[in-house]
Amino acid sequence: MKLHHIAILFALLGLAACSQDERLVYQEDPRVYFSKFSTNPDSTDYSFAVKDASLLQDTVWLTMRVMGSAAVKDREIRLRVSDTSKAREGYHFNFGPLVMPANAFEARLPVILYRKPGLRDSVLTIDLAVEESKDFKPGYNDRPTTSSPIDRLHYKISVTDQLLKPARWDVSLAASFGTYSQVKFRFMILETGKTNWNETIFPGDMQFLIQTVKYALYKYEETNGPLLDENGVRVVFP
Amino acid sequence: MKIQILSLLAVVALAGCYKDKGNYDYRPVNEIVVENGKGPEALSVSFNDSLKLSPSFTQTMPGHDTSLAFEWTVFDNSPASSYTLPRSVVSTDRNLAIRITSPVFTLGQNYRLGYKVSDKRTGLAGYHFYDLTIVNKYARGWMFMEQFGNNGDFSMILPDGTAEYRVYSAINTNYPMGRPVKLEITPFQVTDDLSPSSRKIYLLWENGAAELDYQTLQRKFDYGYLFYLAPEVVKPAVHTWMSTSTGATLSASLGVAINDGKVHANLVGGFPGSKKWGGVLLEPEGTPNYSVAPFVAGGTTYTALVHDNTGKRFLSVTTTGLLRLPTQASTEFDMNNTGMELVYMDSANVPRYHNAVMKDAGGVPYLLQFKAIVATGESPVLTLGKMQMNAPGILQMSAAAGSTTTPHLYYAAGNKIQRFETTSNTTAEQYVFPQQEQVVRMKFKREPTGISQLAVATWNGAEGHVYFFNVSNLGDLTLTAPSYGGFGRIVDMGYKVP
Repeated sequence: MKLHHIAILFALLGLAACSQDERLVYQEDPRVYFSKFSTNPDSTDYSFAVKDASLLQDTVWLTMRVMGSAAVKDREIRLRVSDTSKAREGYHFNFGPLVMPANAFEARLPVILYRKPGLRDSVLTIDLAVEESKDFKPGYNDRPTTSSPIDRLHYKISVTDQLLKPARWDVSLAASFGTYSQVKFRFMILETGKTNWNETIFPGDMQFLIQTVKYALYKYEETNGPLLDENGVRVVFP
Repeated sequence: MKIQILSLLAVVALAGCYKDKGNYDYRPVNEIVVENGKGPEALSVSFNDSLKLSPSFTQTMPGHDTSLAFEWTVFDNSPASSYTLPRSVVSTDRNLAIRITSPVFTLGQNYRLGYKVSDKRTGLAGYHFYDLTIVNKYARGWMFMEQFGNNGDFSMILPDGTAEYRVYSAINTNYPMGRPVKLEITPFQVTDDLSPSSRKIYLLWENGAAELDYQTLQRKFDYGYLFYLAPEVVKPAVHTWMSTSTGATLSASLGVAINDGKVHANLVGGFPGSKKWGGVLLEPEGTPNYSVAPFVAGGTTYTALVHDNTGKRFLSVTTTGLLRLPTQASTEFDMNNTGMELVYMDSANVPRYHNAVMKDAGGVPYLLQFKAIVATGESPVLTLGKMQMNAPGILQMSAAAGSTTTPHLYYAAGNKIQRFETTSNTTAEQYVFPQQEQVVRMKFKREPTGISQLAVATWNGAEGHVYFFNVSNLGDLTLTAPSYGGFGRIVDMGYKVP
């Protein structure tokens, strides 16, 4: 080897140190997952029973986020309906466009629910899982917690036409509204207009809900006498 | 030549193995500390006024003042402002002397003013910060809510003694006020997330109310907006905030509004979500069949107590309803059955103690004394005393004010101010105005470290006047000059601080 070759080799090695570092950004394949927060939990309980009788279909929204950067084009998301699901796609529900819009990091995806006669005496579930699409791989699979037992690659929708006792009644609502009954719950929904009692209710709003149902019950009893529930027990609020 | 070049490369490569012996010849540098390193100082500055600041600073190596550079920067630090607002350099002088005006400053906003002193030789700098609130000339002073026919307004007497008339209508030309009822000024900041934390001013009139911006006095929210659901009947009488704080700094615990004789509550705290006034609270029997007098007594054990003049009893206000008081709270009289009507209620000279002037069915005045605090391990009894009042004309009074420094209750019937002493059950005449001047409103202003004042408003049928009395530590009144005329009929008053 000629001497000048050795000198050039040293020079190149020295210059290599001058290259700029790559920016530390997400470099993996684009992925997508269900967003989960206290106000946007891992599942939705939907009941047509709290809606007007003329409502024959409604929409539940799934919030999904991307891992990585936004893209300049719309990207396809794929969701698989698991075998554990009791609801049938095309009959009990349908998906709306499953698309992450261009330049977006988050999207709300529609699931259209249909009010079918069978829902009056049953609760059906739609168990969803994130599938690989041409644009996204499944995102990350976190460790489920007590409050969110379903991981970020799965989502559960329960749909019924029955008036269901909210899952958080005993642990959260009972202190403010007393013993659960269907008549009481229907009265609360009617007077407050609030249909989702499983979501987090902030303290100020909770006080107003309590004040509202108490006053409404007074007005009801003033005209109709005591309101009795399905068990013949007088409806009261503590 | 080859050997020489290879040797050179080897030497260069081996140079990397040279152990750094270090350079321990540190040279001291000039360290600068401004205002002893104190935290940000809060300043209220009037818009269009000048601001002059001469902070002191120390140097570890003084004597090179020509090497120092100064910079005063300011940025909008209001809670609702964007984080991307520009930072402006307003001076590069040693001391600040600027005019607080646009474009940098806006009335009502908060700013962080930074002072930087740097040594140009080293670049080292010392800093100090000020939190500026830009107020107008109405930041401090007495406010007088007045009636002009069927409309309302308010005027002010500023700390320099100047009177500013009809301030409300001058600032809020498009929002006339109805027949005035009450002026509410909170003595502490309230964080309700409807707007940035501040003290509150509410103006109540016969069939409406409004919250004003505390700094600018511009109308901010209408009465209905303050509620989750606007009341069907709007007849506001009280719109106030109670505090259960026991420290030097008070904070809001519960809002209490009385509208059409019914109580509404507002729960505040460090939780998320909206904080508005709620629906009508029901009395313990679960009905809205009550009518409370327009007074609220505050405490720590009991945040707010009101008196139902229909049920003739005191009730404790909670966010979800009105509650009876425990049976064991009553010994001197029955809090749950006073059997009388509340005429007037105010704070006593012991914190959280209250005096209530009552009228029985026969038209006889009584004083009920009670407290709304029960210390840990203390008896749960709230009642302190009941006496038939030896207070001529008190049931015909046109104005009253409780002293919070002495055991006295000042009241006025006609043109005379009387002083009722709660400890001896005696009344002494304190001042007599000319026959045609009727006292219409009084307000006691406590000055813990100075001379407390009693402000008195009179009405002669055509013009309102305001007088100020110094209150001695024995409760005696001394009229101070000057008095002020040119007001409408004053219905309420309060003292505003920045």
